[in-house]
Amino acid sequence: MDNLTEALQKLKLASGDNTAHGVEICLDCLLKALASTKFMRSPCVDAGLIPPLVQLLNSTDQEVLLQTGRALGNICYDSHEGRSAVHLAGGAQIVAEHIKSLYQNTEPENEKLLTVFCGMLMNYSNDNDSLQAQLINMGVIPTLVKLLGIHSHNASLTEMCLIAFGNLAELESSKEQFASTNIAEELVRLFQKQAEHDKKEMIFEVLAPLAENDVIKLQLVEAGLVECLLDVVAQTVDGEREEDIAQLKTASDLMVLLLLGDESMQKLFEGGKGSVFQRVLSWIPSNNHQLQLAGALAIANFARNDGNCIHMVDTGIVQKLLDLLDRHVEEGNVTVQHAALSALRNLAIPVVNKSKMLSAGVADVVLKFLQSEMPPVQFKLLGTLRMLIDTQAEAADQLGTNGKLVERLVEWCEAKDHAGVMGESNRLLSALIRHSKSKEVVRSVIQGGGVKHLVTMATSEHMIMQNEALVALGLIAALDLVAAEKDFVGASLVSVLHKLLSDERSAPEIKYNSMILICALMGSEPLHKEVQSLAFIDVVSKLRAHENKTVSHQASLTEQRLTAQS
Amino acid sequence: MPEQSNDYRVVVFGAGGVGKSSLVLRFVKGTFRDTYIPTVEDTYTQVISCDKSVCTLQITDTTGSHQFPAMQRLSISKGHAFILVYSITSRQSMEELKPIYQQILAIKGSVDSIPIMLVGNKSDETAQREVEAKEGEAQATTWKCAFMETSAKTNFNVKELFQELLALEKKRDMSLSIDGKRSGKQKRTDKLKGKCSIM
Repeated sequence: MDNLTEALQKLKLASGDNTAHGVEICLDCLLKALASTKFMRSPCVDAGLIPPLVQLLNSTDQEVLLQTGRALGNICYDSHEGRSAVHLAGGAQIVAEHIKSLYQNTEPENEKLLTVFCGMLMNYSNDNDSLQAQLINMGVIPTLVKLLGIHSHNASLTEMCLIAFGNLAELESSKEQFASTNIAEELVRLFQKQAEHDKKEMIFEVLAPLAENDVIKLQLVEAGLVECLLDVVAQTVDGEREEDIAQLKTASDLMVLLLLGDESMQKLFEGGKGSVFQRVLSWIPSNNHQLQLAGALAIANFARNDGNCIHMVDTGIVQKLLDLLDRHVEEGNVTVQHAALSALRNLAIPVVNKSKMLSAGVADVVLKFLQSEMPPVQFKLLGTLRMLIDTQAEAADQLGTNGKLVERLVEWCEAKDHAGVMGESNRLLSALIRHSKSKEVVRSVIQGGGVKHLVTMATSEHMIMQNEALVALGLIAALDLVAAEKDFVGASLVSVLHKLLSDERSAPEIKYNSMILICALMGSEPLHKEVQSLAFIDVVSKLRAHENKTVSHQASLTEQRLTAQS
Repeated sequence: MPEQSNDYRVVVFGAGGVGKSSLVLRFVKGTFRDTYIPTVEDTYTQVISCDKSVCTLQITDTTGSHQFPAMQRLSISKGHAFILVYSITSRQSMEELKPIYQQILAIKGSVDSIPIMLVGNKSDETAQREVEAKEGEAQATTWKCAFMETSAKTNFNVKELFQELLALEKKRDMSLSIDGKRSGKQKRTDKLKGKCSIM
């Protein structure tokens, strides 16, 4: 504490006095005190040291600026109070302005100063979103980007810049600003120069948050990042050192990240003939899991429009993916399974692809993963099957009569912990019936215990789910009412329909399909009784006045039917 | 139902009335739970690795668990991360967290690699404040855990709370899928520590 009091006194005197030499001695003293223990920061603040220190930032003496920058940087390190005090005294603004006026000067002394100032700003804003936002608003980003370009020969300054970017890039507000600089070019240029793993790693760490912005993705692609990444992959794929493995992962992950953007992805696809696409394709048969994963993810992301998907299926991607999946059935890698299934799911969207994929045996391979306990895998398995059977009656029939599949679907319809698996499972159950329109499938679903889940599905908050359920239930009632009767009664289907028809907010499709279903149910004695007891006629007759003509027309028909059989 | 191997269990402790359940509900309802939104048209989806998406987050709200000490011990022993909530309007509620912290320490042995967050909730009730932020920070420093003030009412810092908590978890590669933010903060703090010598 004595050191500190001394330092404070001297500093206060010196800042009034303006003798550079005197000030330097105090700063030296202060820095020693700060370095001696980490508990110095609060006392410094409490002793009112910050405002005079910040004042020293207006000095014209190089050495004073350097030492003051160091002192302030130190005070801010990991200290809320230090940062607040500097914030209040306007320290950040002054330092930012110094950087703006000095960044073009490449003299070694100046570069040292810039390094210290950048470091000070980083300590000032680290872990504090609002202070980082403040810096961004001050416009430090364009300056720092230019700085990086000019001083890329200076390792410490470059490193400090990268740390600054890494910090600032976490904020959404920064990414747009970054996008309007040529950061992408600068970083790629810097990356190409690096030989050491550590240095490459640092740049990767900045690239990843920046690459989350779609504009920057495209800029990075245009700046040639992809070629760098492919080089890294080629160099590290057979490496056994930890750093090779780490770099392989980082580079391939970054590649996938670039493919998440629509524009950047399309640019790299180049009609399916581009070298990037070909290289990525070659990753899939690799023996390296990370590469298999990145390859499958890349394909999944290329498969995001009809054109790409149709081209890829035509040029044989399906067999490659199936071969990959076959390698991961027994004790396979879950992330690879998930990625490959995701790719198949997307590829199965265009209508022309479905029959081709079914012929290639996709459904059979997908079914091999039915026993998986991993929700992400289950989710994609379900999605793939659902995409495949749309407009494919024969496939829907085959799958719908697969007892093991139906059994598992019914189990998953109750997966309350996993909304996605539960939702998709219900939808697949309904889809099997709707696309096959087959009595055998209906039987199979009834036997598997699926009816009650379809009834519950009709009470979903999502209109799409309600509708898909009602259409499936309608088909069940039409194709095998006798077999389904018990389950309809047990699941209170009639009450559910009553609610749907009485609720004013239900969509017209829902009302229409509910009425169709009611009519179909009249063929069963017990269900007929339930319908009567709930006075459906009242609800239905009101619907004759519904604004939608299809609904009002069906309401008339239904009313007639209910009256006739009452 | 068999336990999923990618469950991540966050246990929330706190006296009655501090707003624990609101905090959890805010978070779960608003952003977090694996919500499924069906689309009519089959839509192309972006695909990221499933190990980068969120592990199933199980949040255990321990309201009233002090009445069942065995259950409380079980929650602690199975928990991966802990949130200790007090209300800034009640010094008493902060005091009540002390035995719970001690219990976590006792059961886990050490809190070095366990994400723990001390949370001062109801930050919106400035007029009734009894506990200053400084005090919360000081307590967190003593306990070597993280600290945050939140308001479940105004949704202030709620998302950040869970993000921070997950960021503290070093053993797993987890990130929230809501905005895809990377948690590089920890790495950078370590880097800056190293840079302190330049300062």
